[in-house]
Amino acid sequence: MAAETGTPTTLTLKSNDDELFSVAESAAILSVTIRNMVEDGCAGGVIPLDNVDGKTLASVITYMNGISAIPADEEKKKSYRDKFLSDKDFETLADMVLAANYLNMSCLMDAVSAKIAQVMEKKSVGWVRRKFGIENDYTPEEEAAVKEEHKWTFEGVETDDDN
Amino acid sequence: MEDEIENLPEEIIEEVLYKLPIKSLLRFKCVSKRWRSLISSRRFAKEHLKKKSSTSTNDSDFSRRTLYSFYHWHRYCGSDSVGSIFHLGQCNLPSETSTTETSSFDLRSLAAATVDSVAGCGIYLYGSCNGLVLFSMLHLVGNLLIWNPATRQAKKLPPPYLLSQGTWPSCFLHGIGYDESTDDYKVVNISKDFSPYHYQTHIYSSRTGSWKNIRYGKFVNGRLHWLVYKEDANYNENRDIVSFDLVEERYKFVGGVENLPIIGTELKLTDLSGYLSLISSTEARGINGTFKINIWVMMKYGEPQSWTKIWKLEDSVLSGRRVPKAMPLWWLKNGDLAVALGSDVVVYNGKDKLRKTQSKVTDCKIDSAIYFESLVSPFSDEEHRRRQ
Repeated sequence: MAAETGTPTTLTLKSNDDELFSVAESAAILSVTIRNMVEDGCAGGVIPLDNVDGKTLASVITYMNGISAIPADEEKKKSYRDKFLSDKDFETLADMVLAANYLNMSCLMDAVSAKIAQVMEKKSVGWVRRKFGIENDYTPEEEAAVKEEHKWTFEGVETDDDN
Repeated sequence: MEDEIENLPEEIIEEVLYKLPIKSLLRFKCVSKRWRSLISSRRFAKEHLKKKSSTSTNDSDFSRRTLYSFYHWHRYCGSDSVGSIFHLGQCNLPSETSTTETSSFDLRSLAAATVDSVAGCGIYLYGSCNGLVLFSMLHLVGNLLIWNPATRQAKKLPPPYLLSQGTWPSCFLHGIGYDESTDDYKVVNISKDFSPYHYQTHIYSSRTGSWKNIRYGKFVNGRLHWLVYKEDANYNENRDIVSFDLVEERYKFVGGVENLPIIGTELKLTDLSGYLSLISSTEARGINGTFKINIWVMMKYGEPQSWTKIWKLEDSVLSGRRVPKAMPLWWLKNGDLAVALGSDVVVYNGKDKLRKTQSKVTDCKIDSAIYFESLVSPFSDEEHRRRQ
């Protein structure tokens, strides 16, 4: 963090649905995308974030504030991230991973993708197709053959009850 | 199902997939043809491994996925009991509440596919590298296998030389390692025939699926290591460590721990969290004697003076009881050390004090190999393409 003195600088971020958010620059520059804009001097007025909606941006800012308030202690940061993501559903996580990617926040990206993986881990193939919007392009015979090859990996799969 | 989400771009999906366990990844090959070819590709396996190794600097993350295997030696092993030979345990070191899970692999299907007869077989583990385990059944060079326990793929290697000649090698050493320069997993087989000082080295490339012969060992810096006996000019026997460089395909003496007792001491060599490690077990002498187990680590690779004793155990044994088998499993940065000792896995903190005892793993251990789950294929490029 920059060792600046005096009043902390505040940035205004604008989501793609025109919501405005104020955030301390020191927290916002966790995003490399925002940091670059600040360094390029584009941070004078409002910073438009065209790929992030208001709901997701609010969540990302909560994260930025939370994580930057924790001093350099990886353990504490990790437990903050775990807690922060613990109650998020798949759709929210998907929005967040896109936002983290766009904002170039590697720590959030890592944490969210790991969380998505954790949610997916025991899910069925059908669940994954549905949630990721993937079309099944196998013929039934082909699919049965692939399944047969890895039959043991279908043990212990959760039943899909959370459509 | 109104949870319409924006389709995630493939590079983000990949980031997520890299964090999944192998079992889930294999299941998700069924999702679509694209997912199947992605997950099956060598590039994905390599990247998956790389990401996993880089997160392994985070102790807790890595150890959660660390598995170790032991084999059971059955003195009277009929073909029916083959399935119970291999035992795999999972060790969650940093967690206070962790227990050791034991699960066994059905080797019967593996054996049936690879060995003509499994009756009376023993399984010998020679080493592991990036999720591939090298072992043999019956301790014969003709029965060498590269196995990926996570994907359950096994590849029986062709014999390194003609076995029909009737000239069986009198001894041999094996090892598996990774040659980064060619992205190839290589198996090294050193054999000695009946003429003294006549050693041959054969190297198997898992990409080409074939062996080549390197005549009479040459010595350089490297990654595969074996314990050897060496005689000095006065015919005193010393133990040293020989390394084999998979890129240059040459040998080098690395230098063992100085002044270890020779008689009554058994030495074992292992990789401990990236360090070359030596385990010495000295039998108890006399009725009230104590056995000694020491674990040494070469703190700076290639500098024999950097051998450091990180753990020791001295205990008296009842007469007739053998020194328990000890094998270090994992050494964390905070100094915590996990040791498979006898039939337990025990975690010690840096000051040699017992912190906790893990549950029983197996009742009999002879070999162990630590590996972690990977997608690395044991098959040659050609076989891999055919399977995709």
